[in-house]
Amino acid sequence: MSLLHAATPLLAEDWINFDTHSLKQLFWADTISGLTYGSIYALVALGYTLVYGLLRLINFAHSEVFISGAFAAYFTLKFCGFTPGDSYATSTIGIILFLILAGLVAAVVSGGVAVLIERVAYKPLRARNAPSLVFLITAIGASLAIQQVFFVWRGANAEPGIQLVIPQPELQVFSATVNNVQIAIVVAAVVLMVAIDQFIRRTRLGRGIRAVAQDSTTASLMGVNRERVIMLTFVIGGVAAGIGASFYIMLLPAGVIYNGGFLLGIKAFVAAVLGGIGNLRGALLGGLILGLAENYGQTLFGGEWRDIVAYVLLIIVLMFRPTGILGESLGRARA
Amino acid sequence: MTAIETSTTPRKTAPAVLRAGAVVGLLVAVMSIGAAVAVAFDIGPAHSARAAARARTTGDVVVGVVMALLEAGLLAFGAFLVQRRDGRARSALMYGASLTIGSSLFWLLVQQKLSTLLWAIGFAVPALAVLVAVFVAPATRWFGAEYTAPSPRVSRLRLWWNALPRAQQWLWSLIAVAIAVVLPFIGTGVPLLGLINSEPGFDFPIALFDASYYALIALGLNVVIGQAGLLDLGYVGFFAIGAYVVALLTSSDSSIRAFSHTPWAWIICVPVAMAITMLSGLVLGAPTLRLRGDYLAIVTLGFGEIVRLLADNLPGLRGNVGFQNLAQPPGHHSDGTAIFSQTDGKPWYWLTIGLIIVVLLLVGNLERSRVGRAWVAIREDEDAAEIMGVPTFKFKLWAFVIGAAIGGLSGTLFAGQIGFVNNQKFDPATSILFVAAVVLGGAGNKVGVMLGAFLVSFIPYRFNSIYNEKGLIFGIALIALMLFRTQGLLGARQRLLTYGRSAYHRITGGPEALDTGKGAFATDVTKSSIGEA
Repeated sequence: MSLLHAATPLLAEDWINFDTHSLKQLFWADTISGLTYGSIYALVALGYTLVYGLLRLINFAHSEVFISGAFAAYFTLKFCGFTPGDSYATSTIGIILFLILAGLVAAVVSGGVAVLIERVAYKPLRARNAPSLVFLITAIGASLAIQQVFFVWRGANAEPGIQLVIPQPELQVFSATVNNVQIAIVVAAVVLMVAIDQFIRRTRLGRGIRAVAQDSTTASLMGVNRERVIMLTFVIGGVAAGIGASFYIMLLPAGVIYNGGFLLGIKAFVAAVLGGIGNLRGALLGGLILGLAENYGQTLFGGEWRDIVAYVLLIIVLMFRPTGILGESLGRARA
Repeated sequence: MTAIETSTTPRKTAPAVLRAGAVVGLLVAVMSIGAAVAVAFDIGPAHSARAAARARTTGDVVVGVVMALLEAGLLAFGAFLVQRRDGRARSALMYGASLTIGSSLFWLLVQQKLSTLLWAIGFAVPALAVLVAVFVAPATRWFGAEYTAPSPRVSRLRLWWNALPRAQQWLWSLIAVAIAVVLPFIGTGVPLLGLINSEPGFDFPIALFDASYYALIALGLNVVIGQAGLLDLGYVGFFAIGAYVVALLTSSDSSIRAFSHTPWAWIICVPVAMAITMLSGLVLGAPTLRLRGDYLAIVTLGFGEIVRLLADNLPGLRGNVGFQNLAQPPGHHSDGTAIFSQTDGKPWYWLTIGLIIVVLLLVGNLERSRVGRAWVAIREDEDAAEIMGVPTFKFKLWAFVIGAAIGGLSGTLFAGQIGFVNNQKFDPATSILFVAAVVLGGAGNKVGVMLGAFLVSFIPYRFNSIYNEKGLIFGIALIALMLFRTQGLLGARQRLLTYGRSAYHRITGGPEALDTGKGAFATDVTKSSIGEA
């Protein structure tokens, strides 16, 4: 009893709140915001899931692929004459064109970084049949090195944000207003995901990817160029991450910082595992569920519990579905 | 197959890659002599770095010039041999390039300033290129070398060790421990050794203590990763729990210390902390150890994050404010000051060495027992182990719990020495660093993981004055090390565990012989080379 009494201050009354009232009030707003974050998680998760499905390898450096995209998009905008902290008198069409330009540059840079990582950190190891743990260490090394390049180059502070698109309420869903940025992100992310899914399901190159994922030896005997397929997969993952990064800086203009990819990368990986790693639709589903759960949890328990909700959800889901919600199946996706 | 045959047949031409390597090597050779002369006579870019941490001694210059001449000679000889299409070119280029990298590091240690760093990188990068040229596939085919095979030097060392009588092994171990114990007394003035602690404002004993508690962590994590083959990315969670138990029980800021009116002694906190971390290992392991491989990795990562975020958010754990005035082990010097203090790292270092020895004995015995064999079986093939009747879940849980206890022990040491615990030291990056220590040293090899831990904790410490770039160097070093030694610095090797020694003696009539890969004890490392042949 005295022990219990002594332990009470440790769990003081206000350490967590169950604010069901605000959750009811903010339910739809949280849903919209959760879907927005979720789409970005999904885009980044795509890179993890594709590489894992193909090589059974956690590409820990993917978070740096993402943040390179964010830096690329940021500097593209800066180069185009947008200065931090201003509002811009450019027409809507103009802004959209600049956004597309930034997204393209980010996609190219991220894709390039992904290929670079593959070439430097993974390919030589594959050539000598290294155990999978070793890939993990080179991935960590690559991640650290790229992160530090940005740190040495830009320092420890976040870049001053460029708010290109001012969020404006566009439409009303039940009690929540949806702004233009959110619509753009969700629509574009879902379209991109569906496009990549279809690419992998329907095209010749996509069939190559699935073949290598199923059985790389047989696939190469059948004339699939394994190294090219692996390269292509890294490119696709990198491009998706780059585009995700250009959305991310629309949503969080102050997110361009050298270590900004780390936590988001972990979240995206959680999303991929949640949906079933190696499974493209799982990445989308996992991303959206993670985004929603985080936002509901944030309103219900308070902002500081946001990340814990994500990890607890992961543990609970994996306890009941040990291979994620949709199961792992890049190779088994039907032709 | 072809690789071995071509090594005996006469060769036509050296591949272009190797020729390029030889040319670069020749250039590096010429440059490095120039650089050594420049440094010796204070000319050139190194001159601007004269305001160095440690005044350069004549000994340094002599060592540096000798190294430069040697590396230049080896590289030039290698280039010459490539022209002659001589098979020894590979070794010459390899040693020359390695020596160049070594001497770059040497100059960096003598005068660590950014300009010296650039100077050193300027040599290390071409030398690395030479190494890559020597190692890449076309060159390897030309030389017919099997670069996946374990380094003969390391295996010879291991054979020598295994062939020693038990008493001699103990003697050598004692000598090693003695060297470790006197390590903190190395002054900055000692010619070559002094370089390891010539950093300004660098507390060598405390750095050694840090390395030693990292070594303890690596030993614990080695049980989980190296022995049982479970990838645990949240090990920092156990370390944090150990530290927080000490904080909660002994800190004057703690709200629950109240239930015993006298503060707890540090010594008593240690078993309590270990028990609590074991319990948390059980809590984490029981629901999640059914997961395989990478799922387990991410769940453990999540666990580590949950521990850290709880420390952030629970008011009783005080987040960033943290706990001060933690208890420390008892004992006083004759002048009345405490032996264990925050300023003096030496007693802590020696205490940790003692604990490491205890843990080594315990874990070593465990490895050779039924539990250890079960772990190896699980690591190699979990399904097969299960079918053969190994209760895999139970033994995985054991590995987790034992690993957790060692992590908690290390946490108590850390908390005691720093005397202050808050939420800053327990992020996932630290956790990943622990895994890096284990894999770098060679998962499954206890001496190896301790070496890895030393490197991982000591290198960033040592290069503190080039603070911004040290992470970059470390990252690149991780990749480079893993590319050249995929099995870790000292790789683990499969061998008979229980009664292994007597079994070898009985069957082969002598100590373990150099493994040809054909005998009854074909190791898994050489097996892969059989597969090639």
